Amino acid sequence: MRVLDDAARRLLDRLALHVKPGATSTRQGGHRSPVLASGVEFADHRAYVPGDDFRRIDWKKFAQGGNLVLRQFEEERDARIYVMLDLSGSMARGKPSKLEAAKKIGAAFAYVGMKRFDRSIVIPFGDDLERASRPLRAAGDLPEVDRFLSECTAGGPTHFPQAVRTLAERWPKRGLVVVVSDLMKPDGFPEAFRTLGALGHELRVVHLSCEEDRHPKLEGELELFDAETGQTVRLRMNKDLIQAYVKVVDRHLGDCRDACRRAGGRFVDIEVEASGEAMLKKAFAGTEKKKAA
Amino acid sequence: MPAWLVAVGIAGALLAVLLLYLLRRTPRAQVVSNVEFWLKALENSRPKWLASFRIPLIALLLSMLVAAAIVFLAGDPRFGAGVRGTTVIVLDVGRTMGAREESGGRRIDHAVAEVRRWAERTTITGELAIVRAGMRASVLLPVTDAASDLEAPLASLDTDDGPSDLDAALALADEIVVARSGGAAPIGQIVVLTDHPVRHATRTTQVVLPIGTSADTIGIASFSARRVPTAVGEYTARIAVRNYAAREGHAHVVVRDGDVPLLDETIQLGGHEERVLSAEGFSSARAELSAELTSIGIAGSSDALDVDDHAYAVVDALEATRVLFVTDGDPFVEAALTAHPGLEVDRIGTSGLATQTTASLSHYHAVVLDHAALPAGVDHAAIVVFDPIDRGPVALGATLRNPRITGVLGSHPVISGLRFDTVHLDSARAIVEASGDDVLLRSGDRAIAVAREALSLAGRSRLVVFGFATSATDLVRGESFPLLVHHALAWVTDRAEPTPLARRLGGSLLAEAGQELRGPDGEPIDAPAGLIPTVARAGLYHVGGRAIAYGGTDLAGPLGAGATGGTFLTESELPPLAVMVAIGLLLFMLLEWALLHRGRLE
Repeated sequence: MRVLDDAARRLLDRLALHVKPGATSTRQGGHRSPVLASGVEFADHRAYVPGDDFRRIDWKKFAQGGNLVLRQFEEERDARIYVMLDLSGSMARGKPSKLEAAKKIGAAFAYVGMKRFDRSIVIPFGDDLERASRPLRAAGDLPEVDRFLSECTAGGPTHFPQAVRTLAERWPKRGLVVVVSDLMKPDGFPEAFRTLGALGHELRVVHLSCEEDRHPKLEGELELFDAETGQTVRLRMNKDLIQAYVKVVDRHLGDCRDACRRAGGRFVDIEVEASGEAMLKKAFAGTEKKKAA
Repeated sequence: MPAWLVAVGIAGALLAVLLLYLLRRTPRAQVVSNVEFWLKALENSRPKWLASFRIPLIALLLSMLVAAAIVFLAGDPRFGAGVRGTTVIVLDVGRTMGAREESGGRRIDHAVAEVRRWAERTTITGELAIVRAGMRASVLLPVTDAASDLEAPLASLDTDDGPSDLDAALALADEIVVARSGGAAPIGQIVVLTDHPVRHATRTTQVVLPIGTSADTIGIASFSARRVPTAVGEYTARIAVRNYAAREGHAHVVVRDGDVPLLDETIQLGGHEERVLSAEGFSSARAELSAELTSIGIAGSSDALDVDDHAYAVVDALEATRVLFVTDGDPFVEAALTAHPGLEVDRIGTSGLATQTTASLSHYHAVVLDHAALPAGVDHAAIVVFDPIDRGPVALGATLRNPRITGVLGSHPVISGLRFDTVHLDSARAIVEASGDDVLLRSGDRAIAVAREALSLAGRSRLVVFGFATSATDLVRGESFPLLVHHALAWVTDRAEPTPLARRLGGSLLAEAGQELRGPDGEPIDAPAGLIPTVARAGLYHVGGRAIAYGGTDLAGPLGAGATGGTFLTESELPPLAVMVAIGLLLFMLLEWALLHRGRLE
């Protein structure tokens, strides 16, 4: 099952990721590297093999000799994109579920990253990092993204700081960290954002929210079940309590937003009830337009 | 209502409440993204206008109010063993319960109305009895569970003229409840309707309902009559009227002997003032006296009590003094004796004395001897002698010719008030004075009239001896001679008239076999064995030919307000069942409220 349909891909083709120069790795990628001044020049041709990036085909040479050859340049530094996908139990809430939206946005960031020869890694997390995808570089890896994401299910608690610690241990290279989460955990996220900033990563937080989280329409006497921990509490709903809940959530999101910005990152709020196109546009808001090839 | 039906109803109601509770209070399950945000919201939320628990609190209070109303209306809990079992009403019907209240009606009327209310309520779940607390405690209504049985006893109920024996009535009521409880701890209550303090402790719970407010009265504090000892046939009635109010008042006082008014006077009385009035009557027959106060007025108030406005007294018929006159013909003494209205005189000659004995002479109150003496061995305790002979009761001296009365013992009752300075005596025998003699008349140093009193084992005896014959003096021609004879007889007989006071209410009245017994209104009384054990109504009773007055003037006094009080021998260890049920309901509701707001409490 494809996470990104054709319309989404066409939209994403017009988008690119702007990654700050400091957040690059050592591989070739579509991002300007700070070491470009030391000379990144055409080095040689090699024969094209299936699977190579067709954008590197030297068409002049093909026109001249009729052979498909790739241009080889001096090594370009490429960006790593870590797409941290929240798979905690709360992501299953919402109509459509926050997890569906998260998969779509995660796949979008991976797609745009691969399109630019970036190395994208989709890393689900719950109370810790879960099994990550292999590094994805080419468009041919997109089916892999679809397959990987389709196997992801929501459940369990959230412990984002632990996930960040594990990320730092396993992938020490700096890059763009895209956190796709509903942030529905009172503590841990602001500190983890600061940690990511301190590690030199460029941070982009995509906050997904559903109607239930923003404006709960609950009444009467209820026994609330926590979707992640299973904790229960019995409450009698009233207007004052709901207003207080909204304030608490807003305050928490405000703290997360402030922490993200202090860490040099970008914070985006996305409502899962919006259309896919709107979600994607908002997720990539502020991104450079695609330059003419 | 059968007990099993009540139990079924209660069980069904409890089951319905429990089901409603379980169904209503089961919360709906709701999955949320994170409970911790809700818990923080719970901590932070402050009800602005207490709206979040105002409504539940009001609902709780209303529920408690409804539950309390149900319990109190149905159960009517009180201290002690509650209203289960037997309720005995002790109804005070003493004299003060007849006092009129400012609100209208008498105290007894208010008490009867209260009895009806209690009868209606207590016969719903229990049984009822009524004890009449009059001068004697008695059962007015035996134990019953039908309020309709009350009407017949109450229809003929009235107050006694005397004080109530409240202690005896309470003791009787206590015994009834204990007996109905099977001899175990008493199950029931005693409701006391009285205008007096309750001081008798009972095993059963007492509920005291004070009756009566302070009231004023003017009443007869005492009423008595006696015969005038110095005026035969005359009697004097004495009445004391007292104002027990602090403010001035007036009353119209009427004293009657039968239908004949002896006193008819309006008097003014200051606050707490007592006035004594007297009335004279003349009749040697029995006098049946009644005193009444009418048209009583008290400034700023009114006379509340009627029973203290009536009093009764009896003056027994004058019993003639029986005199044996022994003479061979003394017209003067005989005339003096005849003229005395209170004497019954039998005349015999001196020869008739020979057949007299002490026993035969005892029929007479006095013996008058005119030149005679009692036979030897014959005695009498009251003797008057004119012209004594040598073998008489006194020793005689020489005969005095034309003695002049030189000394008079004017203080002696025999000659008190009589003058002898112009009396002439042709002759007189000197009397040899004995130790202790009072010399009534003296001529020089010789006694010519003495009065002697002796005390012995047989009693007291008195003797008056005049040493002259009536024919030898001009004394007999004056007014003083009959008086002299009368005084002498009065002194020797010494028949003091007791002051006949009315008997006190509460005492018994016995009519002997064959004697008719009539009440104050002349109604015949059919008393078992001719005995009224407790006379509770003041008035003149007639037993055979006698009149006996019963009165309550000694009970007259100010009217106090009803007092509260009640003492208990033991107290119930458990509160009443209704109270325990009420407490259980309240705890149940508090638990429900706490569980309802468990989230807040956590």
